[in-house]
Amino acid sequence: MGKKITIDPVTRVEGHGKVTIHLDDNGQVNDAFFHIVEFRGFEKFIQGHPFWEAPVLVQRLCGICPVSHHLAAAKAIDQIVGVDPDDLPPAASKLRKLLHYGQVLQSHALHFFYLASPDLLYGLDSDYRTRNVMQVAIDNQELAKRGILIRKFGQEVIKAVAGKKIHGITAVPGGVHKTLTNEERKSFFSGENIPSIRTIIQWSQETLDFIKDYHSKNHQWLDSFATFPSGHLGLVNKNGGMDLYHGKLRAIDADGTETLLVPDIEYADHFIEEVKKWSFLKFPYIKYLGRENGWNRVGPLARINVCNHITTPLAEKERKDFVAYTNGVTNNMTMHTHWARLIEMLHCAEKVKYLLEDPEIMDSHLRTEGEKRNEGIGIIEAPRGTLIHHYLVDEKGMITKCNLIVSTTHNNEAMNRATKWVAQNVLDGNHEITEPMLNQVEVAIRAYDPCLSCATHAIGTMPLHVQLLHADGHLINEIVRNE
Amino acid sequence: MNKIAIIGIGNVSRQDDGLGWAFVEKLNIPRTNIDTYYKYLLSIEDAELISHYDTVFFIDASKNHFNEGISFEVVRPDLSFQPFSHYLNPSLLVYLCESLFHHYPHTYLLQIEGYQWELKEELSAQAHQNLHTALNFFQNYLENSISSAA
Repeated sequence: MGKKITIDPVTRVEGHGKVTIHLDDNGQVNDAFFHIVEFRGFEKFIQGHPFWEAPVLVQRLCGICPVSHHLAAAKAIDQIVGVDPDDLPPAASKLRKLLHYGQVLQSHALHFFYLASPDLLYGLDSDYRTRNVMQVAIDNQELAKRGILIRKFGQEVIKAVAGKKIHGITAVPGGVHKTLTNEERKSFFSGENIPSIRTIIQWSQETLDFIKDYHSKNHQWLDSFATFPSGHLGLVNKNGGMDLYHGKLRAIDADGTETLLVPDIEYADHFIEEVKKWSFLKFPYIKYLGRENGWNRVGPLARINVCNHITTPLAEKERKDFVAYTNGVTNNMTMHTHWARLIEMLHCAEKVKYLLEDPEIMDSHLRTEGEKRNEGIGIIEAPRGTLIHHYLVDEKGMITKCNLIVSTTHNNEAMNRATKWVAQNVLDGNHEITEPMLNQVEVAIRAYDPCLSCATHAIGTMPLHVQLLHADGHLINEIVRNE
Repeated sequence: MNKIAIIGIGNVSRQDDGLGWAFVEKLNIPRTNIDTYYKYLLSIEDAELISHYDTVFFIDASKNHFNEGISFEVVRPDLSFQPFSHYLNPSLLVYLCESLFHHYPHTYLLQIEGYQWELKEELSAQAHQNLHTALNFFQNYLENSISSAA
């Protein structure tokens, strides 16, 4: 009789997921699944609301990345009032970008320092009681402190632009509603209450040096762990450079051959989402390539792969080093996502500095309007990957239809493949399932920095619940670890 | 002057879990040296937040039973195991504040007994009573502390 191993919930990711691994009687992996057990229903209950509420409402999808939803919805409702991204007043565009880069900066800092660093610093087989951010704070005080302060800096940028750190508001249809004060702008350079932006850039660079050094000493497992071929998707500017705020959708296959390059608003012509009965998370893929070949990773690794340059000098240098490691060949190594994420963190810090130094950001012309439309599409590169918001409205401006494809949804297939890779390469044939083995499944999923709350457009305490089940569903054994 | 932070913790969408926020909202202590905060839960960066204060009060709902509906205790630094990084208790936060930022604020935890925790924005009647008990207690405590200091 076969066995089913369940990891529920997955830890050190946002939201709640469950992993089920099916073994046969010989302990060989039959299959593995990453289940999303939450249902949110945002796409439905936002219907009937006026379109201008969308940027406020959709932030409640998530307390970790609300800004991404706010800005994607903002780009969509701009179109409903007849404004395309290039028509936005320069100050409004730059303020939105400042908000965006601030939040990507703090989100990447959160992920690396709080969620991923315990895996890297303590190893996959370390005791679960010490493999957490508290131990990092005790053993590596400087690293922990920098993580806190980089995150704080990003959150202060968010607060300055949007009014508060979580669920703030800046976007209105066709622009933004306020600018920065001179005091706010100067505060990011002075280093008085928070580190200066120059310090943040320096720390971001030093964290990159840390990960490269770590990689040089641990490249065997980092290069091979949960590595598999995949497509990659991200936004690029008109010159093929990385652009986290706006651009064309570009996808490549595992060998680097371009599979898609289209204006972002044409996404619906090219993507479709498959539904599986065992998860509330869908599986998007490029239609003409089919389900098997059309799915793509999104996020830092994908964005480095699909772009041909980064527009800020320090990050561009780091991108070249990154690309040189694979001799220019597309990088499919899952654990290199952490490295790519830190390159983006540096890029965001540089962009924040440039935007703050730009006098145009203080201009008072903040909003414009055009001819009304009944449809709006806003696509942005959230910290975790490509985020799509699509709204249809009636003649009164009430939302009649909403489609959200969030970053983690794009990565659904990749996370399932990563789960299966670990199951087949680590668990296969082992009759004793140890906690470090189970942790490796989580390490593979954590590399994607999934936001499972977003992805299922919940509440309460959830103990760590591991179940060992027969293939026919009978419980063999279970372990519960309470919060 | 003694800089004080009063931090209400909880979720107002979960009935009595909103006691922390309700406390901060109803508190009437007009002093310039006191800052108030509303938090869904404590996270690691709050170790940096409290490093800027001399005295910190955490206000939180509790499922435990207290004889008069409230419990007030000193928080001491404690490195207890925390399996999930998105939730910290005050003791660990104080530990981190001390070790990372070399500052040890006088820290207290005021817990208010709650009874209902469903998806609803309304305190239960009993929780309301405990809230008033907590407010009266705290205002007296603060007044006495300020008088003693003077």
